[in-house]
Amino acid sequence: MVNAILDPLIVIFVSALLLPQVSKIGEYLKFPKLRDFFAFIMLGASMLLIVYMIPSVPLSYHVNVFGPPFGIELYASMMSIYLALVSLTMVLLVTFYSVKYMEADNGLDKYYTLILTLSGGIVGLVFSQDFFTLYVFWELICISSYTLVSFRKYRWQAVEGGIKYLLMSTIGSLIALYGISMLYGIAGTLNFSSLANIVVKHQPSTPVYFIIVAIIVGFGMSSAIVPFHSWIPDAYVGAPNCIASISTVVLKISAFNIIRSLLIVFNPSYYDYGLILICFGLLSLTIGNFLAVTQKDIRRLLAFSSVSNMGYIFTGVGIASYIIYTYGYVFSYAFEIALIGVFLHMLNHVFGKGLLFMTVGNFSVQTKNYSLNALEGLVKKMPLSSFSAAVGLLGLAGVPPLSGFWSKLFIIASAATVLSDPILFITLAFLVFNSVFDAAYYVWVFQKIVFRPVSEKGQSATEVSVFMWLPVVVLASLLIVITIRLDLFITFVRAALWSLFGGV
Amino acid sequence: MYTILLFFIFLIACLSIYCIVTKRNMIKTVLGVEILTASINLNFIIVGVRDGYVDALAQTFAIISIAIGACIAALALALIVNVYRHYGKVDWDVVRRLKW
Repeated sequence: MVNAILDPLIVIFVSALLLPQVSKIGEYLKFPKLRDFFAFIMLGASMLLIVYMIPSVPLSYHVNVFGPPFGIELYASMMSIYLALVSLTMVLLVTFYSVKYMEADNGLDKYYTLILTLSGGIVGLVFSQDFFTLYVFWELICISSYTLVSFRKYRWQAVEGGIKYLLMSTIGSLIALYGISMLYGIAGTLNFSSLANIVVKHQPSTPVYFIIVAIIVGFGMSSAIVPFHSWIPDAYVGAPNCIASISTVVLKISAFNIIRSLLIVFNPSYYDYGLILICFGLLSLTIGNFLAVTQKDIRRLLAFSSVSNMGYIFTGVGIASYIIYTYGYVFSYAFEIALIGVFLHMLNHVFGKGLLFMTVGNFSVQTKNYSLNALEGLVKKMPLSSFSAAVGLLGLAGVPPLSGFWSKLFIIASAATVLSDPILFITLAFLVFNSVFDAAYYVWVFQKIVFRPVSEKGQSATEVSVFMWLPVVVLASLLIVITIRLDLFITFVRAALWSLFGGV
Repeated sequence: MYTILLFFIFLIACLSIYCIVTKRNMIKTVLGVEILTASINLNFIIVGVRDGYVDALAQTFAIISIAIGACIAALALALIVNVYRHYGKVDWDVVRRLKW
């Protein structure tokens, strides 16, 4: 064991290198599923290593030759550990799910290698403490993700979705990199903690706002906020359903890039970017919801609802920075509430949407169909998958006891702190309208699954194998556990938030 | 001098975005992406020049960025080959089958 912070990364990348050989050994032993379980166990091991890291945070690692202001630095705060654990839980369950779901595909050694490099990229990105390490790991995530989305390259949908995703997301990352290179020109370093001190000394000027816009637009393209959302339904239709569940994690990581770069480096009390984020967020919310209700394909509906949920996250960050810029630290509790809501909503949306894509996979394996009408009455045929889907749908709809309600409530409550402000009042109106609106179509899908009589396509459906229902049930029970012990989770997210800003 | 160079690099970046947006051929789009990568690498090198000495770190960034750009180009071209197999054409106008 080298260093507490490097260990999970080393475990993941070394197992990604070993996986093709393990796959050959498995074929030699007439047990080809060896690679699946190898990937699963290695991901689980690195997750355990991250859990063991919790008592000793904050941890930092850098190469000895070049110290922190210049060279590469990795830094583990509670927030990085929180996001790494959420993402790895999802990837781990998807690996378990793929054992059965991807059984018929060729080239599975490449599939699991790509899943391992993707999760290695996620772990590296959340631990990175300078912009260039962040960019390198982000491109690692992106390249693995493009390849996984177009994995079934014999289907034209996969190729079409993959090439659209690749073009949009690549241009986005390059625009963000352009902003990062300008930032290097201004500050002479890319380390987050050094940048925070240097950038504050500059007066807010046009080049700095150019950098801010480049970062928002660049990473915003990969997180599918509204002017740049056109790739997401195509990519989700093209991808295997389990990859679509991982893709929700990639969206959150992209949003985390924006949150971290803006709120840490560009202090919100000097730089006015809250309004831009609120505008992007409200546009994504409203247009995402309006596009979602018109869809007939369940995967496209879920894709557009991802757009609207990213809207919640961006609006929350926007409200937080807008309040700090306009009112100073008088309403700093609103800043805290908004960001707790944002990070809790990331958790809820990753688990809820990942759960829904997996259950859509289960349904489609049985009914051979993705239309909304084929889902009718499946609760009588596939009770476990349907009950889990119901928990996910109600959670994302924000039906009160479930945790999706509380995260939305936190974001809405932070907008309601300063009612005399016209911008926050309009934001509040849009948020309330949209939370009712998206509840409407989630509950509509819910009643189709639960209350309708069985459609003719679902007549022959039976419950799927244990590899496919177990991860779904685990996710549904995780959502319920989060709801029951919400106080614990909020305490954890709050501690994570303070550690992100270098506090307590 | 410094500002003029930065301005010209910005111009190259704008031209590459123009190329990506207007060209209908996918391979020309990939060329646009490559030009954008090249302009960003140039930008890293130019901002690394300060008062007579050259910042080695900026050149390291440029080299790593070239490697990543090569990966992206390779993947994009591989996907374009698959688009050609499915659609018989490498044109953005034909890749429009996915609708609700």
